Amino acid sequence: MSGHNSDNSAVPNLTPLLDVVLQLLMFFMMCVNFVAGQASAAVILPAAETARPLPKPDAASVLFLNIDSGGSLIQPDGTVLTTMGQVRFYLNQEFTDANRVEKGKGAKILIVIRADEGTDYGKIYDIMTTCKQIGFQKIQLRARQKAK
Amino acid sequence: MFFRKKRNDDGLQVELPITPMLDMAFQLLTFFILTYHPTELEGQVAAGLPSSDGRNVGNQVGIDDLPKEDPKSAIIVEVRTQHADEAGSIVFPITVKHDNDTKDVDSMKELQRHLIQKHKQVPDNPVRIVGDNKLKWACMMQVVDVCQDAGFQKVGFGRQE
Repeated sequence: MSGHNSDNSAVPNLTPLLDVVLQLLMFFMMCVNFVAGQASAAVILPAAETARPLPKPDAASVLFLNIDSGGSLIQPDGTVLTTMGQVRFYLNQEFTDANRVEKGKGAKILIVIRADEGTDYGKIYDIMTTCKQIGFQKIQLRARQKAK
Repeated sequence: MFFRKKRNDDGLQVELPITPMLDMAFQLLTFFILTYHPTELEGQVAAGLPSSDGRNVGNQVGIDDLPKEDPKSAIIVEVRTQHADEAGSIVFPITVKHDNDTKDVDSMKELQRHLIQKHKQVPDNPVRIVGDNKLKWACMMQVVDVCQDAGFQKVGFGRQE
């Protein structure tokens, strides 16, 4: 495709432009992470050298617990649960719902704790203890990966 | 605008419309650029749930995947903070207890050295980190980091009474 023809009319060369656009498009499509929607932006994770890369997410059996610096639990829809009573009710509901779908599924749910680095340990411990009392068995902590 | 693709032997000109494709590509590109939020790389740290009653009971580690008949006693790492200030940072010494052996360490480096030694002696034993209520989560994760870096993969939590 040339830039000039016999009528002296200019025809822009679109091929390189299209190449760049499609490459950019592919980059952004590969980088987009829809699961990250369950992660609250209000939470600043602590750094850990031993944090390992995440496995392929299985959204159906994972429950994200975003805990802000004040120790409140942020639900995926943005609702903030401030008291332990509310947190217990929410966790109980999730556990019961999972068991209703499939018997024993509640215990298989992986609790992912995304707690802010400034949260008091006591509040996180209370939430972990509540999870255990309700019947959840698997837990995973999230941290920012830090180079050694 | 039409893109001249090819002229075959019969003189028939085949034209490929590029404009709608380019429009769509730009729209998609705009969408992905606007919704792109680069975040720091997130990693997982494996840990166990605390005991269901929430109490610090002897050597109970609070890790569910430990077999019930496992006779191995946990290594207890006691981490304290200063309640007087709001910083919630670690106050040394950190106490490491295992069976009848108790040792106070005055820095994270020393804790790491001690835990590496322990791991050589008892590589399969779990570690239970017992922290103060006011200890900040970032400080607790530092201790978790040191435990896992020393080689202990089974890490559980407890709370100072």
